[in-house]
Amino acid sequence: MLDDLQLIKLAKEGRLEAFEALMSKYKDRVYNIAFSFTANHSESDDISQNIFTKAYFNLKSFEEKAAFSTWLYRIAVNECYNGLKKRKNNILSLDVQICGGENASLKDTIEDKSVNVEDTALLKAMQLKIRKAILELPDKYRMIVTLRDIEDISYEEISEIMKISQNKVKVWLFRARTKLKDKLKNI
Amino acid sequence: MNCKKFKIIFNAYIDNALTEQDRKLFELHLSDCAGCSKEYAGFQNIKQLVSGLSRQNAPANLENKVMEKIQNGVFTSNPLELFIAAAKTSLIAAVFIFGIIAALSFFTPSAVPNSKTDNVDAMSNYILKGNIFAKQNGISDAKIMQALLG
Repeated sequence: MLDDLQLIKLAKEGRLEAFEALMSKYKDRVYNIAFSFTANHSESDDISQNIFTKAYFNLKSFEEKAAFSTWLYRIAVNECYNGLKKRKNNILSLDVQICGGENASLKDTIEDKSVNVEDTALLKAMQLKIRKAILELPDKYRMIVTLRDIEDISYEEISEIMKISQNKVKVWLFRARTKLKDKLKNI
Repeated sequence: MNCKKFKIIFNAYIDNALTEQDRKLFELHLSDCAGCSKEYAGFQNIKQLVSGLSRQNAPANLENKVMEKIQNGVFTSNPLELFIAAAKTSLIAAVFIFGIIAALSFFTPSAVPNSKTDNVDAMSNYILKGNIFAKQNGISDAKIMQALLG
């Protein structure tokens, strides 16, 4: 099986199937970053398409100094921020369905007084609350929580992806988690 | 280390980013300080809650959509971005055309005469002829000035 650098070399030579292989490898992580940032499937789909399209058309500018994933996530961060600008506001719409494959929207869950007390329903409601709390964070804190706590990316790589110092990564993460702790103190 | 210093490294401890020595010091402090221990538990809980969110997989047709865009050479689907790209292209073309025109104007000899240099001789000649005509016909300078000033 070819590694990232071999696939990139082939993709740069115009072998589309090599780029497809890279996409297959990273599509779920990229989509998950977009979803953690937007909590919206439609937007995440658009953002993910833009990320990979831009990655393909800019592949020649990838100099292989950093890992491909770092370079790709950097595009992902930019595209998430760009997607945000297109939104009229940055407030979670209660009509937005935020749990993939599940039929209940956040609005349904909150408004439904007879919510099923089964574990799955409770878990679903709890996940919705957590996603809502993350969505209410300022953009940079939401992104840093996404990269660190959801994608498990190291401080060092986050500092490369977000182009900030490692100290800033720690400070932003501390502030983001403190805010989340306040928002989710009842859980 | 006092409590304030320990609070700064809560997250580093949670993320396994402390040195062995700092980690041991931190754990020692946690075992002695109920306040820090409680606050740390809060941070740890947040980390677990967020990390425990269900992962969202990309739609099955994502790759097809991207490959379609790549094969069609579509860089963006956003109309605003397309408009900005078109505007940029137009601006570059306008600057290029202006540059060519400016260069041609600069290197082509000017057809407009320079009044300060080119016409001095002509004007002198004209004035001289005018003076001769006036003298021959007995027209005074005062009359010429009157005619000129209306």
